[in-house]
Amino acid sequence: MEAREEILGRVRAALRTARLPARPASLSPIPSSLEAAPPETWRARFVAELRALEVAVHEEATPEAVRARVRALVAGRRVRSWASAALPYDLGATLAEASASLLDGAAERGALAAAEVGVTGVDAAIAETGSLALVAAPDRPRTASLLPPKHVAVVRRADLVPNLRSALARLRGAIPAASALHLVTGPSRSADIELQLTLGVHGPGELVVVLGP
Amino acid sequence: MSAPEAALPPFAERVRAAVGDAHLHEAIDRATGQLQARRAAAFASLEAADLVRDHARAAKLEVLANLDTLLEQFEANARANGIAVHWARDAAEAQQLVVEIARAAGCRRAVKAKSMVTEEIHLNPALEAAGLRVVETDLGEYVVQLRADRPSHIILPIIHLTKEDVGRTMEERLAVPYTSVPQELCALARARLRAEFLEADLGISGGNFAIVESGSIGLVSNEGNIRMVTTLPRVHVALVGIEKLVPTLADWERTVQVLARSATGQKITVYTTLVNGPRRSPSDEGPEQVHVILLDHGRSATLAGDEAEILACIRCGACLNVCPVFRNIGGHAYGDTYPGPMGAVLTPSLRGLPGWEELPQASSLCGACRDVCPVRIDLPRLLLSLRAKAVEREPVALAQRLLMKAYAFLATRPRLLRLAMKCARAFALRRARDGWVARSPGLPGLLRGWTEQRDWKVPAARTFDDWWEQRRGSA
Repeated sequence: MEAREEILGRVRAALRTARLPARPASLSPIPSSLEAAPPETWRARFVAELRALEVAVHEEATPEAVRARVRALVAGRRVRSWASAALPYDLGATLAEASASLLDGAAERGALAAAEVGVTGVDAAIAETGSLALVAAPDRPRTASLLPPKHVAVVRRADLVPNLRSALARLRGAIPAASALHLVTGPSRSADIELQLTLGVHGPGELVVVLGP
Repeated sequence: MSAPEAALPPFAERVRAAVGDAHLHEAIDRATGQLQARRAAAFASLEAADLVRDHARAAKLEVLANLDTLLEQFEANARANGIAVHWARDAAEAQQLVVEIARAAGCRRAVKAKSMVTEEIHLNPALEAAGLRVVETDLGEYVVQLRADRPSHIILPIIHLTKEDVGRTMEERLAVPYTSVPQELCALARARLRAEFLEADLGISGGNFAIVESGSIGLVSNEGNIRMVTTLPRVHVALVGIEKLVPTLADWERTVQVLARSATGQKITVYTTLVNGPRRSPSDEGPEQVHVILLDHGRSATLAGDEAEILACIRCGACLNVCPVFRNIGGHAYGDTYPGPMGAVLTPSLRGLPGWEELPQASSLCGACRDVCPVRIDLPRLLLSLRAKAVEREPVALAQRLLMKAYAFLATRPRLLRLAMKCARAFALRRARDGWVARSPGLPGLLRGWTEQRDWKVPAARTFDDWWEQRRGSA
């Protein structure tokens, strides 16, 4: 408490003499042509952004086609996923059936680390940046999008929002209840060595988005 | 307040060594050139980019103007989220807090996210002295740790190294076969560090943002190491400078986008994270304890001074990449954690001017830093303000004062000045080749210092005055 009071005291004293630059009286709101554009355009933008980030995108027209695509992606693999109830298109049954083994709840760290594919839904999909918003929760384990070398994210048309601002508006109720919010934009990458792009440094090196109806 | 470490060679020596290092120049030129181009492209793709920057600046200035009340609000909101909030007046107190948190929770193995503030307070040696194992997990910082080196850029810690340097470091320190292929070096680091993540019980990060409205910590990374650090260990400690607040989630949303664009030319970093607190239930993933340490360490003193604006800095590194001085001397020559224009202001501000007076001189005042700053910090003004203080503290050398007096005498006597200009030309022509006076023979006496560092152009035959007179005459 002593440190707290002293720091706050110093800050208060500093503010009495501080010479800070003037702040603009009022700023106009930031315009967004994507917000104003018809929602059909968001999907095209989202896909274009994902492709530029080296994300594999599969556009599927029906729930059956989504399930078939996911089945092919996880067949014979050890899978870490969100809980059935949190996954779209009833994918829980598909995963249980097609995967070699399925961890969709709390699990031992060693077992988690051995997972080959992570499967998640999304809480919002941001068209402007190709970002996936994932709200951490017991039925949405964080490690599904983090530990396996491949992350498969299943996105519904209804998940699409134009930009981060609108994603926050949509998730405003969910964020305070969650221990974390993660925005994932493309595969894990680094440019630390001579600015050369390398993928899969710590997080998944491969990101696959299955875009359903 | 702390002067440089005794072992640090004088600034002029550090600069001389760096300027002579061709290897360093090649590495820095390549990286900073590309980063400038990427940044420009990223801002070109941002709608109403100038307005977004204005909003980001306004948010940071609002924080500084109301720092006391916003800190209290952040503390209350973070506590409501289950985060333990601590306060540290200085580096020693911050180190001690981390050690105490680790001891109380029985932690032995720490994994670290890249964090400039932990560099600033020299956290790693303090933790190691307390018996903790500390592993840096950002690829660049991992290499820095393996080499017992220091980061030379706040975004790209090993901008001064080539891929061959990295390959040799890993070969020597990790006993692996030599390779210089970045993807293979990456895979080596991934395997080693994955094991560290899975065994660690303490995760240490900085904080790019502390969001008052939601009581959360905002972090960004591209590699995913920060998600690991904030997810896998039982305990997470975030060290955050008191100036890192932003008032609302909307402010975070804008600022995080200009941060990524300025730092790496991305629209947004791969992993943009809000840490709201510990796991919400036993079946939730994430740490059992989340601690935030709010660090002063010279920030309140900076707020009281003329250079308070530097506290708006969001550590994007854009001013480093455009700075002609940084591009010639690299980061290490600045002698402390923060290099480039922002470092030349921040280091003397946080640590006190004595011993750091020369850093604000390491600028041509060209203004490129101010132009790229996402929050429009007037860096040249702050550099000049520190220069003025340095002069007040310690009067300049007699020779320099005499020169300045002589110049002032001439400059206030137009006829004499014109005559002096003509003389200077006549004098220079005798020593010049192709219109330039080079290092050899150079200028004589007190003026030699100038041509030691750069060629001097012979004054034009027709002076500005002549031209002006003629123009007025003909009008």
